[in-house]
Formats: sequence, structure tokens, C-alpha cells
Amino acid sequence: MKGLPAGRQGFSALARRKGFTLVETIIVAAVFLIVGTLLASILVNNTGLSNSQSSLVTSGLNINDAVSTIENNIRQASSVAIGYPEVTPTYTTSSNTLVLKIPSYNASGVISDTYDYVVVTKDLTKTYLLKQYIFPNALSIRQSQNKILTNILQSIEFSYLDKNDNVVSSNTAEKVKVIINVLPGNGVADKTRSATIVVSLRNL
Amino acid sequence: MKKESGQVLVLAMIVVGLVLLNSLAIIGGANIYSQSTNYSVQSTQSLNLAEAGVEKALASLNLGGLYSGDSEIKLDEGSISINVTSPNQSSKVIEATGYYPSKANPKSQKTIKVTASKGVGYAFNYGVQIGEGGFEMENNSGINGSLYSNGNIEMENNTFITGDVYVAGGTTPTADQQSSCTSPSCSDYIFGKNVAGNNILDVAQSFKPGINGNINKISIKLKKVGSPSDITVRLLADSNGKPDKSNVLTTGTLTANLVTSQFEWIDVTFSSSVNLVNDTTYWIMLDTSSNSSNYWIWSADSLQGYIRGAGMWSSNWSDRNPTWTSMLYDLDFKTYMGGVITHIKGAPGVTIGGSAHANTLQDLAISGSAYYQTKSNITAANYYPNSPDPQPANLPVSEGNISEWKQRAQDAGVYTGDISTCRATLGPGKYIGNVAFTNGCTITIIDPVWITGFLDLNNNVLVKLDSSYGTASGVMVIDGKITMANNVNVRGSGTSGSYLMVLTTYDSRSNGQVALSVNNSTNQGILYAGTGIANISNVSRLTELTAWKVELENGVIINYDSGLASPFFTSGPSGSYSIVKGTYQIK
Repeated sequence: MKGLPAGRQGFSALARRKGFTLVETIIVAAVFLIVGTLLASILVNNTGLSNSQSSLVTSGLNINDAVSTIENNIRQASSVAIGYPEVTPTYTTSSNTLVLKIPSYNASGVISDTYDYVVVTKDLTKTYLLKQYIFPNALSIRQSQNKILTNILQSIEFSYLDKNDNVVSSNTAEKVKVIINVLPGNGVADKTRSATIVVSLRNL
Repeated sequence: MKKESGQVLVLAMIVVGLVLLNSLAIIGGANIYSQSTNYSVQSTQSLNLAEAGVEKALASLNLGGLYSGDSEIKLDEGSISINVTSPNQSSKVIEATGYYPSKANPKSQKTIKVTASKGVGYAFNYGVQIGEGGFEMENNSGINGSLYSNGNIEMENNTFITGDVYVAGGTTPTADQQSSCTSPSCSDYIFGKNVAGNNILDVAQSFKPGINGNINKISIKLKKVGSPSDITVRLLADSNGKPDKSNVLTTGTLTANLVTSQFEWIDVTFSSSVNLVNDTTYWIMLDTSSNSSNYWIWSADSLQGYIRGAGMWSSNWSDRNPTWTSMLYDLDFKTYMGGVITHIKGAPGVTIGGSAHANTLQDLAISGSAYYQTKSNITAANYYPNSPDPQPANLPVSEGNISEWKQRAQDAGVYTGDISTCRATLGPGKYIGNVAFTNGCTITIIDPVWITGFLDLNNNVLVKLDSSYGTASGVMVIDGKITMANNVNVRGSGTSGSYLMVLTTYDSRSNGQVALSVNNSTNQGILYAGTGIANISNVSRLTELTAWKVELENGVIINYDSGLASPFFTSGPSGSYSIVKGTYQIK
């Protein structure tokens, strides 16, 4: 090689460097493809799982809070009211609206024969909102309220029962059964979460 | 090319990192959810512990009376603290807090506050409640409100009722079947507790109706020990000589407050009508839970003279295979069948503002819906033929309650002679004679008062309960007629929730004479004539009226409040503490 002119030596060096064979290139590409696909698949699956789990967690938290709030109000109720106001009501007790009559109280305790009204109802326009309103009597120190119990409501159903769990008209109910369904946070309708409670009115 | 090696590793590391992050997010979310769910469960546990605390306080008050609370009581997985205060002589305020798992380190805590009082609460669910005597409205009279009657409603020309009207299906006056012991074969059958090693909790008596038809009510002869809870009464079909747990025909509630420590017949009505077949066996079953200090005694016939049925007991009627054991008694009971046609009968110009419910509706303009078996000349928004008759409603006070009040009055002192002048106070005690208070008189009552003659309250008389009663209510029992002239007012202690009940035991059912006459009053009291006729002869406002029959004179319009939550009547020193309805608060 010594005898070769400088230009020829450069060409020869280049020629001597080993490139990738076609087979090697294909194998590497294939490995990249397989590994990439596997990783992408893992990532996609994991992200999906993460989304669905976090939405389940969200719906679970929502349903826990909503059920707890509704249960406490039913426990304290004297009766299920026909509606609120009782004359020409804006909210009427039905299978998806609950109007509770709860004894009013002030600093010295419960005020006899005086009531605040708690309304639990699906929002008329945004039907995924479950709302709770509190309308206190003028003598009561209970705070008025307009609160969203959950923003992922699918459905809510109230049933009115007597002591023996027979279905009765709402104004004679001694117990209220509540079935609440909420959507997962990502809005996938076929994965709803449901809770059912039956609560006795303690102040009846 | 060397510098580019390891790209797969880098990529893998990124992906693994992302996966790890997601996994951490999932684990974190699950952890939050788990904590939230645990808190919800613990919160409910705390609330239930607090309710247990209230029960514990009541039990302690009823045992000793001087109970002021406990700093901490361990119970299962949590603990309770209880504080009892006495705002006045007649009541106690109980504040019970449930802690999970302990008061020192609570993960959750809930407090319940209630008021308890020595006495008994009565449910006046209807502003005007009428017995089998029914309701008569003369021309142009009216009611602003709703009405429930066990008897017919007759409405003359241009009368009106603005709310819903119910007339229950008529009940035959005599029992179809009955077992009633006579001395000396009467025995006490104890249930609702462990008796000689047996948990006698569910007790049943069978019978065979003598006719086909609907059963309207039953009566059972009971007394109680302590303060047991209301009982669920079930009517069951028979299966091989035992109650058939899978065939409950209807249910009703036996209100514990109507039962006293002496045997009395207590009526029980059912939530729905059920048709019974002649000569077929059915079971009346009372379902209780075990309580060694608060239980029941059913009057029983040791001769077993009732040949169409028998008595049995079980420790759990709803068990998979319940064990029923025969007893050597027939339990005292009566069954009353329906089938008596009842009606709301109108005339020209008669209107009902709400819905009308009765077997027969006639000559009515109904703004709401009409529920009936038979109709004639009515108009309504909707028609519901073949509707079952409404079930009869029990009166809120029993014979036993009245006997107990009379006994307490007699124990407080007996005074003989008529009273015809004004006096500042009356009672407690039994007054043998007539009582008439003159115009403008103001009388303070300390109950119970029992007057064996009549009671006349002349113009502008005010009868009120002593202010020391606070939220509690009181009662005057009058054997004769009651007359209230213009502007008479009967009222409670002045504290909201307190009422004075003026009750007459006068029986109008056979002679048709008026037992309670009310003229132009704005009355805040409870007027009660369970076996009498109440006559309202001028414009009146009533808080609560219960009568066997009510008559409204020409042009009289009455307004009334929509029932009382649960007025609480003191029961004297022998009474036990119980919760005043409406005072349950979660804090």
C-alpha cells in the first residue's frame, strides 16, 4: 500500500471501512420496531389504565361525598315535604327530587314547629350536576346553600318507604331509599358507579 | 455510529419512567380513594356510636334519673362521650359524640344532640281527624285544608274543602273473629325478651275468617313493661299449621305509646287492604326484638277456648327454617272485616280542591283526581275507577292512655263540688262535679286534670298550661260535655311546641248529642272527642281537632294547621324519658 499515491490511499481506506450489511440494517430496524412497539404499547396501556383508574377514583370520591351528605340530611328530617315552597312549589318531591323538612335551630336549640327545607335535585339544564339547596326559615341560623354534590351524575332515584319498607306516598314516608349512579370522571358511560342507601327519618 | 448506540435503552428508560409515573398516580389515587372510603365508613361508625350514646344516656336516665354523662366509654372499635344537661325541670339535653377509634386520637368523630323528656309523644298527623261518625257540612260551610275520615262525608249546597279528602272503607262494627279470656282463665303471655331460656320474640295467633272479604283492622289486648319500641304487626298466610314467612299479606304498626301498663284493647290498621277467604287459616304475628327491661305482655286464654286457631312463638320468624313452637294459650284478639260502603256525597255547588278518595263519590266537582269504586254525577281532572278503599286511620289516643291520665289525676288529689267562678289555677287532681269559668277568666292548668262533669268556658276565657312546662304539653280529661263560647282560647305553656289537650270521653254514639261545642274561637289547643260529636258553629281556626263525628253549621269556615309534629305529654314521676321528636340534630 505504501507505493500507492496519496489519492488512492484515501479511497482505499474508505473502501476498507466496514459498513452495515443490509441484513444487519434490517435486523436493527426490526429490533427497533419490536422494542418501540412494545414500549409504545406499554405506554398506551398504562396511560389508559391510569386514566380509567383516576376517573374511578374521582367517581368514587364523588359518590362517597354525595351519599354522606344526603344521608345526614335524611337522618335529621322531620318529614319529606311535598315541595318547596309548600304552596306553589318551585321544587316538587318526586323520584328524582327530594325535598326534606328539617327542624330549624337557633343558638338555644331546635325551634319547635319551624322548619328549614333541603332540596336535593338534578340540575334542570346541566343534568350531570346533582345540586343541594338549603332554604332556612327566617328564625333559623342554618346557612342557606346552593352546592354541587357531584358534577358527574348519571342518575338519581328516590323511593319513599314506610317502616316496613313498603313504598308509600312521599308525605307519609318514614324512610327514604336513594340510588345514585355517577359516571367515571372521563365520562365513559358503561363504567358507572352506583350506591344505594336506605335511611330512616330520625325526627319523624 | 458509536455515539448513537443505546437509543433503545434511552427510549425504554423514558417509557419506563412514564409508566412508573402513571403507576404512582394510580397508587396515589387508589390511596386517596381508600382513605376517603375508610373515612366514610369511619364517619358512619362514629355516627352510629353517637346514636348508641344517646340510647345509653336514655337507659341510664330511666334507671337512675341522675345521670349526667360519661367522659369516655369504649364500645367495639370506637368510643363514646356523653354529656347530659337539664335546661328545665321537664327535660334533658343529651349530647353524645362517637369517636373512631378513640377520643384521644380520633380519625373521625360525630356528635348528636337530642332533647329527652319524661312523657309520651302522640302523633296527630291530620289537622282534622274524624272517626266512624263521619263529617256533616251544612250549606255554604267550608274547610281550608285536607281531611281524613273513617266515616261518610255529607256536603250540603255550596260547601267546599280546598285540599285532598279521604274516606276510609267502612268497618263492620262487630268483630268477625275473636278470642277473649275471662277470669280466672286469663294469663300473662310475656314476649319480646328471654323467658326461661327461650327467646320469645315473635308471637303469632291464627284465625279463620267467618266470611269472605277485606280485613280492615285487628285489636289485640296488650300491656307493656318499660318502654319497648313500636311493633310491626304482620298478617301471614298459613303453611302446614305455621305462619308462612314467604307469604306476608300485609303489615301494620302497633304504636307503643298507645299501650300502657294495664291491659287494653289496641287497634292496629294495615298499610294495604287484603282479601281473606272464609274458613282459611291466617296468622296475626307480632315481631319484636329482645330487651330484658322493655317488653310486652299479651293477654292469653289458658282454656284455649278459640277453636278456629292457636298460638305459637318463634325466636326468629324470618330465619331460613324458622322454628315455631305451640303455646298452651289462645292470645286475645279481634278481627274486623270491611265491606261497609262509605261515600263522599255532595250537592249542587260542592267543590273539592284536591283529590277525592272514597268507595263512592257522588255529586261533586273535583279539581284533582277521583279515586273510587262507584261514581255518580262527578267531574274530575282524572278518573281512577276500581281504586281500593283508603285504609282506616287509628285515633291518636287510646283508652289506656286516658285511663292512665285519670289515675294520675286521682292520685294527685280528689276535690268534690261544682266550680262556677274564676280561679287562677286548676289541677292537678280529680274534680268531682261540673266546672264553669265566667267571662274573661284566665286559668293556669297543672295537669293532669280530670273533671267528672261538664266544662263550660264562657266568652273570652283563656285556659293555659303553666309556663314551667316549657316545651311539654298537658291534658284535661272531661267526662261530660265541653262548651266553648266566643273567643275562648286553649293554649300550651307559651313555649313553642307546648299544647294543652282538652279531651272529652262523652259518648255521643248512641244518643247523638254534641260532646264538644266550639263557637268562634281561634284555638291553639288540641280538641279531642274520640267517641263524641264536635259541633263547630261559627268561623273558627283550629290547631287540631279529633272527633268521632264533626258537624259544621251553616256558613262556618274552619282553617286549621297541618297536624302537629308530636306534642309531648308529661307522664308524671313514674314515666320514663324518651326522645322529643324533632330535636335530633347532627352537629
